[in-house]
Amino acid sequence: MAFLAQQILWGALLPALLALVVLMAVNWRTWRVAEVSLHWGTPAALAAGYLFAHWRIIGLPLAFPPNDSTEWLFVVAVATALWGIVEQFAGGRFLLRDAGRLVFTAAFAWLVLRPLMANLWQGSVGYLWWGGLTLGWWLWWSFQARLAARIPGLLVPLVLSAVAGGGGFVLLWSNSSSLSQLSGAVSAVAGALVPVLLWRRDTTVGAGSVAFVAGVLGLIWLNAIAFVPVPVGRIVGLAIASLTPVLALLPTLKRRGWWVVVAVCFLVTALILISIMLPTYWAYVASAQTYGY
Amino acid sequence: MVYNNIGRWMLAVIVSVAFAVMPASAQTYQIDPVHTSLIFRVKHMNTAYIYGRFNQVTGTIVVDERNPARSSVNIEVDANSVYTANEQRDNHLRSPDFFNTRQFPTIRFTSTEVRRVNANTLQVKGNLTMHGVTRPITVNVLLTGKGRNPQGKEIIGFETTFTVRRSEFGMRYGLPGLGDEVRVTLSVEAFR
Repeated sequence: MAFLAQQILWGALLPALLALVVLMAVNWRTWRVAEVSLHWGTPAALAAGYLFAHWRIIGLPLAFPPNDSTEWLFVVAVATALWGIVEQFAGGRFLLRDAGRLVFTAAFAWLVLRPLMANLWQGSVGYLWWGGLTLGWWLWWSFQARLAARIPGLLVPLVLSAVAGGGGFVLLWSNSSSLSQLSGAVSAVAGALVPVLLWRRDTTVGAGSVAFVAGVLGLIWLNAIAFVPVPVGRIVGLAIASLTPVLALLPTLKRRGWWVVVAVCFLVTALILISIMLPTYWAYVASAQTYGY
Repeated sequence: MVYNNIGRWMLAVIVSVAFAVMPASAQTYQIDPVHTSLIFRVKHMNTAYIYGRFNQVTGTIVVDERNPARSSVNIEVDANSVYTANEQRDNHLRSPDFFNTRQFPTIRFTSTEVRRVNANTLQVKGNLTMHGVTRPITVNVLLTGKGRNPQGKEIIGFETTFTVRRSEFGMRYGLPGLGDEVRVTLSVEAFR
């Protein structure tokens, strides 16, 4: 089998299938009874798919604590799956969830960025990077959590999946293939939520699912900024592209049909993604010689 | 009294001449980055070998010819200086897929044991630290020559070739399409 086909099979298709099978198993009740949100076991289903992909793409961590910044993504996937269950049961207690999320993001950002603070970002510069990246990650995740609570149906996971996929190309063209593939894996498992919510327009994706996707994708972006490095503006652009479901709350759109809302939000997401991907691609093909991995 | 002073004077002269003529037991050389080459090769898609090099190699070599066990080697390689004649590939090698040079900017080798194999060959055991992972390696080092450089400094040259598995250093991206075994050749010129 061709190299690229193998990467897609093991890094995206099989993880999505695995996540979908576990999702179906834990959410069987959602089809029988009209639940407010997906089952609390949903983040574990997403984690199963992602961890499979992580194992196939870069292998299991060689040690604990992990040695390499990228290996922390395996740990954060397990941690966010567990934290996602906590968020699911914490329900509408947003302040409690916000505070826990702040501790979570600050702790993981510290663990991952610590080696850079010892050499590249010494002194106050290191603390500024740590504080800034933690704040950005936390704000984005908290915004996503609020969107997911207010917007039922497939829109939120669809947009998150698209942004993780588009972000994967941005990372690929920034010379980081492993982070690109891991972003693709997040896209695949988030995409597995879409068919589950296709016919359940009144069911939200759940705080746990958002915790998993925002936790892992957030750390991929933090890795991209700190270690590749990808310009901060491009990652901020990706984060903005993921917030388009907020348009669904506009009264003018609310009056339209469900498919129109989804189409408009997806179109705006796609336009923002293209505006980030194109310059990245041009910079990639314009630099030096063709490489092609 | 006069004979006694002459005797002391002669003894001082003999000792001075002896120290000047005999080499010191252990001599410390600085690696000359300009005349040192660190090249590597790795197989691409199980087809052809790609060659690359690191352009910044520094360190010290302590040579004790009478007692090689007292010799030692300390080498530092700037991982950011990786060069494969393709800017994108060099940036990819610096990324977290491979060396992750922002997190691990330096590759180090520190010897732990040196022993003579024959007149021109030494066996050097030591610890190689790369990508944050330290592993023991053993290499045979050939003494390639000694002399003086145009600036009049004493120089000495060594060469070694050895193989490492990058997966053992936590660099597992792209396996098996991009080979696991990396053959490394280090040719050092050091001066004092």
